[in-house]
Amino acid sequence: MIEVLFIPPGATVQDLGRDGYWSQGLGRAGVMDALSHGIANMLLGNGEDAATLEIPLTPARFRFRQAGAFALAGAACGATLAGRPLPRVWAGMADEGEVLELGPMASGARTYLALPGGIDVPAVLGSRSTQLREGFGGLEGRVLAAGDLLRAAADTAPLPLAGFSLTMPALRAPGVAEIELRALPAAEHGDFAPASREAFWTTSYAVSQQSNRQGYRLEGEPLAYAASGELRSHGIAPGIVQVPGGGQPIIQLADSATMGGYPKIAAVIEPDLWRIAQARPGDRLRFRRVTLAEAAEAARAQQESLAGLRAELEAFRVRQGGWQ
Amino acid sequence: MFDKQDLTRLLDAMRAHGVGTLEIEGGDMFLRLVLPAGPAPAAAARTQPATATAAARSPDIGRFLPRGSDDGLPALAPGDAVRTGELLGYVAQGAVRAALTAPADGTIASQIPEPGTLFGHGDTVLTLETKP
Repeated sequence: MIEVLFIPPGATVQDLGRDGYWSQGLGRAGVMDALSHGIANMLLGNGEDAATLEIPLTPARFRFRQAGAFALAGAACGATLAGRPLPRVWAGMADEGEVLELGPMASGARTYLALPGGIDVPAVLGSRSTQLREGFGGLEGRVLAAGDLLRAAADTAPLPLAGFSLTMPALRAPGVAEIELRALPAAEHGDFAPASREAFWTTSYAVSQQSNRQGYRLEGEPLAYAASGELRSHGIAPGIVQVPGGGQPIIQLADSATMGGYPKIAAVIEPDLWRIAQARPGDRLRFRRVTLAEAAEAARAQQESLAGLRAELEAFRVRQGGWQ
Repeated sequence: MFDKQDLTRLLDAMRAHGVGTLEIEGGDMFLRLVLPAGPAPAAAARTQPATATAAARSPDIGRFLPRGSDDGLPALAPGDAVRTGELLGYVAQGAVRAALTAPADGTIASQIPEPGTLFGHGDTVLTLETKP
C-alpha cells in the first residue's frame, strides 16, 4: 500500500478503458498512453488491463506504507526512491517507509505507476478507469489528492532485488524533431480545400496549451472546410482529428465526447495514440497518411512487439530465478 | 572464483591487519594466501591508508549499457560519487536491462566499460573506491 504525500491535480487511476457504452453516451476513458501503461504492468507480471496511476503533472511524492514492488514507465521525470535516481522505465522493490519522488518531466508528458496485480479499486461497468466527467470509477471517480491510499491488488511477486528496466520504442524517429502520427483520412476529408488537405499531410502542427485528456488543440496551417451546409453530429472516437470554425485541428483523446459536429479530417491510428499522450505543449506533430491495411498491420506489429517483450521478460525471470 | 581485484583486496586487508596467512574454503574452492614477513603492519598502514574497493557485479549475462542513454538519468564518469543501491548502468539482453547497482557508498574508481561489452553473471563491471 502506498500513501500519496503530494500530487498536483490530474492524476487518475486508469486501465484500458470502459468499452461498450458509447451508444449510451459514455466515453471510453482509460489510459492516454496504453503502451507505457502496458509495459509498467508487464514489468510486474500484471495483465495489461490492470489499473495503473496516470500522472500528468509532477512533482509528486508517495510513501510505501509497507515493502513492495512497483513499476514506472512513460515520461522521464527524475524519479528517485529514497533519494536514489531511477530510470524512466523501472521495476523494483521499495522498503517500508521509503519515499518515491517524481521530479520535473524532462521529456514526455505522462508517467504511469503500477503496483503488483494492479491498483485495487472496484470495477464499475467492467472497468477500473476514472470517468472524470461523470465522476465514477477509479478512486472515487476523482483525481488523486494528498492522503489517498493506493492498494496493490496482489501480493508482491518475487522480483530481482536490484531491479530492472526495459528498452521502450522511441517517441520520435532518430534525428527527427517532430512526432510522427500515422492517420487515416476521415469522413469529411474530401470536403476540405485541396490546399488544406495538402497542408494537413505535409506541414507540422504544434501542441497547444489547451491539451488534456479530452483532446489536444493544435496550432499550424489553418484548414479550410470547403463544403456548404451544417453537419449533423456524428459519433467520434479517440484519435479523431476535428476541425472547428477557426481551422485549427483538435485531436480527440481518451476522455473525448462520444458525439461531435465538427468536420473530421483524419483519424490517428490506435498504435500511435500513445505518442500523442507523451507530446508536450510546444512539441510538433506531423501526420502521415496510411491505408486501412497499413493501420491494421501497425496494430498487429505493435501486439507482436509487446508479445516479444513479454517473452524476453519471462526468460529474464527464469534466468534470475536460477541464480538466486 | 577470485579475480585479480579480489586478490588485491584480500592482500591489502592482510597487510593492513598484519595477517601473515589466510585460508578461504568454500564449496569446491580453496585459497591460501601467505605474505612474506615484512615491515611492521602498523607502519604500512600509516604510510598507505587503506582504501577499500568494492566491485559492482553483473546481475545477468548480457551487454553493458551505460546510464544516461535514453533513461532520463545523467551519465556517470570515473570519480563520480554514488550511493549504496544506486543504479550504475545495465547489463542488457535484448530489451531487458538488468540493473547494475552500487554495492556500497563510494566513488567510481574504474573506467566505464564500452557500451556493448559482454559480461557474465557475477563478473565485475565497475569498481568503486569506498570510504575506509
